[in-house]
Amino acid sequence: MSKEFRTTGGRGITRRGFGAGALGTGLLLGAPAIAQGKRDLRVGTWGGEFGNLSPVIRSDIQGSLVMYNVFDGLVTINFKDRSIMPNMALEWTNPDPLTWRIKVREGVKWQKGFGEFTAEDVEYTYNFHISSKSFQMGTSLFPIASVKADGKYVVEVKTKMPFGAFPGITMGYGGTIISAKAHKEMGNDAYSATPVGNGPFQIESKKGTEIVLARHPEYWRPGFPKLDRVVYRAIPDSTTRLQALQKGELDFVTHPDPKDMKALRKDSRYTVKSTPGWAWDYQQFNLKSGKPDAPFHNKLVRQAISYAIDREAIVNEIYYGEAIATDNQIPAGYMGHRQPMLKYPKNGDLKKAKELMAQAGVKGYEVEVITSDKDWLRKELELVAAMVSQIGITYKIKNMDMGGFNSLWLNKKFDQHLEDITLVAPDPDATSWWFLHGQGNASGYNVPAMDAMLDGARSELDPAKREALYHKIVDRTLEECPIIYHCNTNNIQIYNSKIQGFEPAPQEYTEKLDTVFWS
Amino acid sequence: MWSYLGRRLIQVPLVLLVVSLMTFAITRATPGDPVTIMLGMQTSPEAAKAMREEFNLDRSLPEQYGLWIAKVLTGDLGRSMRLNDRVTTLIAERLPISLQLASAGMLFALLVSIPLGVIAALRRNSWIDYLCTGYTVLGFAVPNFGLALILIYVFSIRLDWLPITGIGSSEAEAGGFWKHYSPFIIPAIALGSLQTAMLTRLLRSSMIDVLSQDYMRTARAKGLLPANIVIIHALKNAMIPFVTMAAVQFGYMIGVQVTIEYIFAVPGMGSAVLNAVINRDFPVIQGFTLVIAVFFLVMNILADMMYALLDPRIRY
Repeated sequence: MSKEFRTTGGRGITRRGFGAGALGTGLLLGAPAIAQGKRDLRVGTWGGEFGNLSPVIRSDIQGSLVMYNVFDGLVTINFKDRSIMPNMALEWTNPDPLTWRIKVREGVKWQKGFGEFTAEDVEYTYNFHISSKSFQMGTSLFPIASVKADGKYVVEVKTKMPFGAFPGITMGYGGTIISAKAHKEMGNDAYSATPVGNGPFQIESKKGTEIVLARHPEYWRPGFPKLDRVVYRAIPDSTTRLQALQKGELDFVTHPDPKDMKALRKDSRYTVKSTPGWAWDYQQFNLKSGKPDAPFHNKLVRQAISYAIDREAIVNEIYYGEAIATDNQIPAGYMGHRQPMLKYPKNGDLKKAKELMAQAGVKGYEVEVITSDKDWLRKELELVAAMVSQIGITYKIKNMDMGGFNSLWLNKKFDQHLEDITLVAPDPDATSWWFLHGQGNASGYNVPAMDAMLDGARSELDPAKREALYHKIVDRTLEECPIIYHCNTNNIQIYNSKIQGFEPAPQEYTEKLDTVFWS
Repeated sequence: MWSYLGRRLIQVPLVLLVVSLMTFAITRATPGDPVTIMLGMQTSPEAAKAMREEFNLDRSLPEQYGLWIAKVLTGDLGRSMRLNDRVTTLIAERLPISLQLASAGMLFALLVSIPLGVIAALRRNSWIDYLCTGYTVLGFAVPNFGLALILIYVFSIRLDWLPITGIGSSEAEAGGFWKHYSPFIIPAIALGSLQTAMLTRLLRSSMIDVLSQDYMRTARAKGLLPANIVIIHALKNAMIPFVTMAAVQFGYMIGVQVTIEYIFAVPGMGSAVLNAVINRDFPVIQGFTLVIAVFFLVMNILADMMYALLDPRIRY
């Protein structure tokens, strides 16, 4: 259930309008020489400004890009095999199904002289989430019954239910700890604007659309970070970001327009990283739309739509190949992943789609489909509308801004939508529970057998049994199609080729810079 | 004049009241719930309730408006729902940048439009006049973001003379004069292009009007130097509508920089309002709109005051 909506500050307005891309890839000219052995890095992110930076308040993606360089969480993810690695938590045990004992690392210092990181900070953070009823109570900390520090370096967490995803979700997505001392002294608002972390970089200044990070001098990992300063600048237009990189005004940019990638890959002055992301583009049906006669309430019609979609065309036309076509919710590397395409052909099967429509007794119909203000989703929806028109379905497209979209979606005042979403934790629970459980999803999809499987997989502690349960969950999703998945989009970074040591991650908001250096 | 100024100043609060009511009504009538946007869809109902209470969103609309206005009267514009900052702090960060950009845009417009307008009027129906008129047609026709892209391509990419981004960045501000102000050049030209066209046309027509007046013939008959005639007698009189328009346009430019801010990543007022609208950050939308309205009103009043300074015959 742990997931996060790509907020408006996300890629929402990055490529919108204003002739973005009008000059496009023709601008790969004259970047000035960069001095050798530099110790600072200028990063261009998208979005308008950086919002909250505190882990106890929900942040948007560009805020998270910064936050995860300021904080070191309890665990980290080894993105090569998606395993959960010790970080601030050195080890953890599960002596009984409802108890987790976490041993935290000794000798870790908070930034700006706020003392040592201890188990009490973990206790304080989790209790702050609980007492402030923070967003994380709905995402990753909901199983917690109580938290208690046992000495300086051990914390014991009691859960309300057995929770197999505890290391990945509660200690992972929910495991970014705040400094109790700094938070109490500064107050929640000031702390949220310029938090004190335990990570490789500390916030030096924050104003408008710029954040300057400086090296944390007492960072616990010797030799890291390798940079002295990182300057983040929010630059909403992807063409401007790229041009600023090419002119040497920036060293590193995120979220370029995929159409520019082909030319950039050929240019030896830049390194291009494109990593299959933990994100989907998907269509969702409102099965409680108040229109029980709507044809899409029939699963055969939903299957027909899924068969009518040429996912490979979406990947090529909308993402210029920088995405992976998929028909199911579990991306590569996750527990429960088998392969991207399990049931529906990647180029679709119109014949089968038409047969299913005939079998459902539906000749054709019109439906309003909403999407938000991300221009790639608007294009994608137009393409999908053309695809489904071949089986007689007319999509009436309604483009909305993010706020308007959220309002209709969350209040279930829509028939069908197309959106994208970022998954926040490396556990399959994050891909399925919230979207498919009767208590969680915005689809109105409510099938007791599915709920039982989702709850069972969540509380199962044996990985092999969990995996088998997720296979069943995926198979049932593919059969019933409350959601139709299109593709996993890539996370892309482009940077000066003299920059070394950057490890890209499938998680959209994870761009850690502690290992980055100039050659 | 002072009584006129007094009357105008009395109108200011009334206009602001209307602006504040309209802004409030529009923000509340637009679909989209800020709490859902800020907290995400999986937040606990208690957290959503706490946020609604903090920002008075649990109260009736008249109450919300009343509470907000009462705070505004004490100089408190509230706190951003998204940025963990007071609205006044955000304005203090962004207004100087918008003012600098608008000033640079207006400076460009004045530097171009005054000579062009005067020359076009003096050489009416000559090729120079046609050239100037043609230029103004382009100024009206080419949207500022289109011009911005062309200027970036020519001056930043091809010639590598000017930076594209950097306004308000610590790197630019820590640098010298050129590093600090060079990022303003292209955005200012793009921003001021419409005003350049508008002001050139206005000055040309008012100059033509003034030059045909009897007192101009008298001045020439008195043997005054042509330069004196043009600058002291003609231009000063022709400037009256010009100054009004320039002042009003300056106020306008503070609020309409959003496309330019977007392209050049300028942390100004317009982009802050745009982001606030997308995120339904009500206190920021309301606070910023109010400040932009104040500027517009102040510039209007200043324009009227300048009438009296430029033309002693005008008495209020």
